[in-house]
Amino acid sequence: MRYLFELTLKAAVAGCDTELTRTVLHYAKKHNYLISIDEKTAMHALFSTYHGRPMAGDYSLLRVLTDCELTYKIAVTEVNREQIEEIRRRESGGEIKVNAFVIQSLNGSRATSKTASRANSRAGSRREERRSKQKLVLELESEAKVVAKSKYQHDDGDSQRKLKDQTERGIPGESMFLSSESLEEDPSKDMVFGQQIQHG
Amino acid sequence: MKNKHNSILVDFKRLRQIDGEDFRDSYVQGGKFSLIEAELAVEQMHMTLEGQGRISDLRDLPVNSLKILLGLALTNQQEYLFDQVCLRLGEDIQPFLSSF
Repeated sequence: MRYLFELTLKAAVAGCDTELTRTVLHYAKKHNYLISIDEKTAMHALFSTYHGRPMAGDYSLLRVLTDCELTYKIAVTEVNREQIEEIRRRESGGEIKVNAFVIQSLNGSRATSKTASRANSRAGSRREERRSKQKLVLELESEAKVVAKSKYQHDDGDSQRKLKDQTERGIPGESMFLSSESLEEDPSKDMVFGQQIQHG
Repeated sequence: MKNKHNSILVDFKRLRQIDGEDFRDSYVQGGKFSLIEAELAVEQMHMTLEGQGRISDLRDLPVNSLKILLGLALTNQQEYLFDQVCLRLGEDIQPFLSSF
């Protein structure tokens, strides 16, 4: 169930939807599931508030994320390794309290509620937009299949070895956002740090 | 009064790199979905909440969007939609993990 909640939360944040994000978080909390969000998704929410982005000037989504009890997964890379090691030395236990950057200091406006009339007028355009997106997904899928097929035919295993080598050496790149599943399998590597929001 | 303390560790070089990646693909527990698939599920959920969702719309949704919609229907307590998505997903009901 936690995986489903995390998937849903991530999608709601990716879709820049404050209300759905709040609903997912409250439902999970109500049923005693401690769900987490990864750094990349949290940063996506932050960038969405920039000028020209879907939530320009609207910090409601960020506020929801920081107000709820979320665990942040932060991938350790060559870039931030020393910084995190220093924090680890200062803090004891598995959970780390980090005071490096406080998103809650951002000031912003609340999300505007959607009225029924506005929703009705948007429904038609949404369907059209949806159809074009579905078409795009199908095109991407077919393209990905062709690429995967050609890669499968020509791949002699070098790329996999290269990726594995990069992961072992901790080189930033594709290896930075390993799934938590693979990270949990090898706790000795200690690649992911959880951070609890403290309620005093 | 609650004294809340919350923060996110940010490395600014990393932050710029994430911005460049633009969230085209998102990895979740061994699987991944694209931003478009997430948006499709969110839009479908909105249409359902507004009473304009049609079950026939589910036919056109990609599998990853259906998986996201399953979670959205559950958390928004839309039982009928949840059942319909379950029917559509069939054996693909596991969100990305065989152990789920």
